[in-house]
Amino acid sequence: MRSFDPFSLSAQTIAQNVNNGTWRVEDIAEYYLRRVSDIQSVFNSHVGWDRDIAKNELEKQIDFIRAARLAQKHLPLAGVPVAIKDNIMVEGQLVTCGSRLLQGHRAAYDATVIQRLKQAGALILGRTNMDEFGMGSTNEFSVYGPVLNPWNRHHVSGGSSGGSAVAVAADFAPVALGSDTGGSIRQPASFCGIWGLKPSYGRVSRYGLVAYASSLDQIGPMARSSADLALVLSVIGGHDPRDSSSHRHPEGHFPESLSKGPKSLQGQRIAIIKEFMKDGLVAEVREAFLSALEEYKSLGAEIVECSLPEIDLAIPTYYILATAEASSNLARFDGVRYGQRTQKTGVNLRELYMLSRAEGFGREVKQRIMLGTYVLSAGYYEAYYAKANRMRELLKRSINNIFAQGVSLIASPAAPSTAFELGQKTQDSLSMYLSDVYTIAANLAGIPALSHPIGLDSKGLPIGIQLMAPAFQEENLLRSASVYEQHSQWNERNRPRF
Amino acid sequence: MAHIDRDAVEKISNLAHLKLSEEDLSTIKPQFERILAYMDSLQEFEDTLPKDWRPEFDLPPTPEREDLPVVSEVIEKVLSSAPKVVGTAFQVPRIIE
Repeated sequence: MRSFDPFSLSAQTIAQNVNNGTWRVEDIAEYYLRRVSDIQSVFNSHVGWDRDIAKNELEKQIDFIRAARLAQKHLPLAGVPVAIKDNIMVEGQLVTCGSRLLQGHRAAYDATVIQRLKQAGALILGRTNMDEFGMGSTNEFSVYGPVLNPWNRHHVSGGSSGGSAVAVAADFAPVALGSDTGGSIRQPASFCGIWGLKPSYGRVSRYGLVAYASSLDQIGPMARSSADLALVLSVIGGHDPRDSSSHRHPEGHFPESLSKGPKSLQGQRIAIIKEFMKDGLVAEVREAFLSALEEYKSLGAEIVECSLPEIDLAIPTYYILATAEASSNLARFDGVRYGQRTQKTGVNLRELYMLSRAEGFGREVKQRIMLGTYVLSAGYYEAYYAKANRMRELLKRSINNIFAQGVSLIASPAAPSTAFELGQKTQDSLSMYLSDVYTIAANLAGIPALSHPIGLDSKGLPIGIQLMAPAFQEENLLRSASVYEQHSQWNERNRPRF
Repeated sequence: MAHIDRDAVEKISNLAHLKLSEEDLSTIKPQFERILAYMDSLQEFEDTLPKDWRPEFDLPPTPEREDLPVVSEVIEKVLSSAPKVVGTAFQVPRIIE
């Protein structure tokens, strides 16, 4: 078998070399199968990993890629391994959302994103650990146990797409798919020193994604460079008639806009939100963020300060809406339609629902379902849910107003701190919710946002910046970040040592 | 802010179809109180939207698709993950006692 230099294995490089016949897809598959088998258990990044099963599942796809090669058909992701979060359906594979309740549940069909990845020649390789049903910011709320950060195993990976972030950071795959309801792609990407993109609401089909909060959820790519994010987004994006929230927006030409677009940031106006720079932001993160902004400025961008007073109420708004939607979406997991049924006998139907759900869901999920039930209940609906919807609209209008004033991007740290120590936030839900302060606005407003690494703190843990753009302007978002990437000291060769 | 006592938490868990253990109750109740107290900060904002505003006013139109018949061949696959199956149907618990 050919020996590969893991540092050279970007998705772009793999696809190029498989398409032109320099590399064999079997060798790529074998290299990653061995790497995941050897190391993933150290970080607990994958769920239900079995090398032989994974190998068998790849056979048909390897034949498809070989046939395409013989027919001289170019596949944009030829031979590129992609790790998949455990809440996205891959036909025939287990899909458990990190929950005891869904143990043994197999997907009956491919999610649209999986269909598109397969048609593009990708190798679907491994299911990644996550906070149960996407509810968590540390990846400690999983029935499979916590995911460890490859930069320091005493720290969390971030969540809820922690397994996908670690899969990319530790070279188990050059790219992974995550889902992002309030920062679940961008925050773990930041904690693990990689790139993560939450696309505009409606850009990527959610058909085949197990829903958490339907007005906020988006599937997006995680990778080690802007070019790989662009490549995967160009494959998975675009209208899907099977998802009624999927927009008929013209498909973007993301890789081309990176390679052919301007190489400076002249004319780009980047806003920082002054309310984001208040208490709670760790000094080292603040310094790294301001220093990255200086770099953006030196590349031609104009930096301006804006105010977004509504942002102070974004967290209660988000957690009211997300939990309300979750309480409704997760009602289907009752041991009759979906999920393991309680083994207790002699119970009536209502007891059967209550016991099956209580035995299957973990504590954080139960808590969020109850919060959602509370804010939707008669007597509290107007005070919480209806009010949160109005607040969301005001926040959305204020963000759009900032963009209407000639601002092309809004920048913030990706998270107020670097990765927490394991166990630091699990006993205090509110403190964990507050750490989502920078990422939730993009979900509430439905706009695209990415996070990318900008350096390390004094403990050697990665720090990330977040950039947000107006809806459906991913091309400018990715291109601007790629200009920084080309000039930055931090590039895709930065890797954790383990 | 509504006072959340043990009875209230039990009532919400019933509405949510969750049978909470003693341990769950003692962990969730204080968390619940803190979170709801924090969520109450939402009562303070200055609401400048028209009174009759509704979220659906600002939603983009739902794209329509052609009404074409599609053959579904997933019955066996769906049944393979059903909690209990009889023939080609989900077996549900007896509901008339």
